[in-house]
Amino acid sequence: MNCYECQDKISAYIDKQLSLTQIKEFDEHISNCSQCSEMYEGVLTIVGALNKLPKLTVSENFNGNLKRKIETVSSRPTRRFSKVFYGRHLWGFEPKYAFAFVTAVVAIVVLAVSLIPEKSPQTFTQPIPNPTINQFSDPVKNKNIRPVTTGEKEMLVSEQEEDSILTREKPIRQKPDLKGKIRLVKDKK
Amino acid sequence: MANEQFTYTDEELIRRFQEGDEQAYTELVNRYRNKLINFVVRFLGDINDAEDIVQDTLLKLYTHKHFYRSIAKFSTWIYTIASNMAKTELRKRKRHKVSFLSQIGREEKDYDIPTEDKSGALIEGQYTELEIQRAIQNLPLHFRTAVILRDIQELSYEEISKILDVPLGTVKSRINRARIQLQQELKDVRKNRR
Repeated sequence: MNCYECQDKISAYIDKQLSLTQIKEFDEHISNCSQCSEMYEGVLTIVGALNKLPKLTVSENFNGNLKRKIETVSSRPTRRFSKVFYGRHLWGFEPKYAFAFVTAVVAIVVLAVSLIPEKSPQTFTQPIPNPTINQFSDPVKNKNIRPVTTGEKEMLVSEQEEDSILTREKPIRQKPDLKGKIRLVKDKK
Repeated sequence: MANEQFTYTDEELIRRFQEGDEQAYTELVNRYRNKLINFVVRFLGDINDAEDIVQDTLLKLYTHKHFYRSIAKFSTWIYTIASNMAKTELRKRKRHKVSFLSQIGREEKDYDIPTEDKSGALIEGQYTELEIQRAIQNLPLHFRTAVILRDIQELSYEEISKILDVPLGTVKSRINRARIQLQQELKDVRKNRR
């Protein structure tokens, strides 16, 4: 038996919880190890002191006070009712936490509602305005822009038709106006 | 722990009380009030709150008598209730007095021991009651409960295991470590006294 094992078994030795073999090993170690022997003596003294602590007694009016408490509890309304309205807890929450919880939930709901954008029914039917065709078809108004060729017009018209189909199918999503850029890339080719 | 010889066992009394015999309840109160007050006072270090806790424990016995099942020993059941209530009280105190305690520091905590006139007398010729109580108070909660139940309430390891709802080996280990810690703390106290 080493010191660790010995110190681990001090209480078991005092409380007679060890087997005969373990008792022999413990005794042998204690007689050879001053440190463990000192600790054993110290623990033995503590156990004796704890056992001899003065025994306390309740006050004289203990039973009277207890009786009053019992009468108070007995005079309360039915158990279920009292549990909900008279107890410290309100359906599993302490009142202050329940109030905080409800406030937080209401705040989240209000925030969520205010963040959702309002949708009018017209949004679904109105086509997204596409200035491309007018812009290119009227060279007088748009002097800085060169006239559109027939091929380009056909392409733009078909693109517009395509856009109107897309607009009908996905009315909320607005396509970014990249037409000028796309056309220029194609022109370069 | 029960050296006393009674006409009825605790289990018979609680059964009678469950059947409506109020006299049986009074008998149980008289049997356990002082045992429980010793346990709670040593656990909390305060007689005033301790008496309230013991009353609440016995009130719970009154209101929840049908929760007791005859498979367990009555003493185990009542100590479990008292232990839980004492722990709740400590948690409540921690919540309410945390700022106060952090200001005054560990050594300056005062314990309201009812037998102040006796606390100067040496127990086992070594330590005063107040010194022992302070050392108990410095133990971690799970060590404190185990050592009080064993060395002050004189319960068996098996009973403590049931009350604390931990394996027997854990109880043995906790008791041993608690005693060693107490021994070390009180050794320091004795050195400082000299």
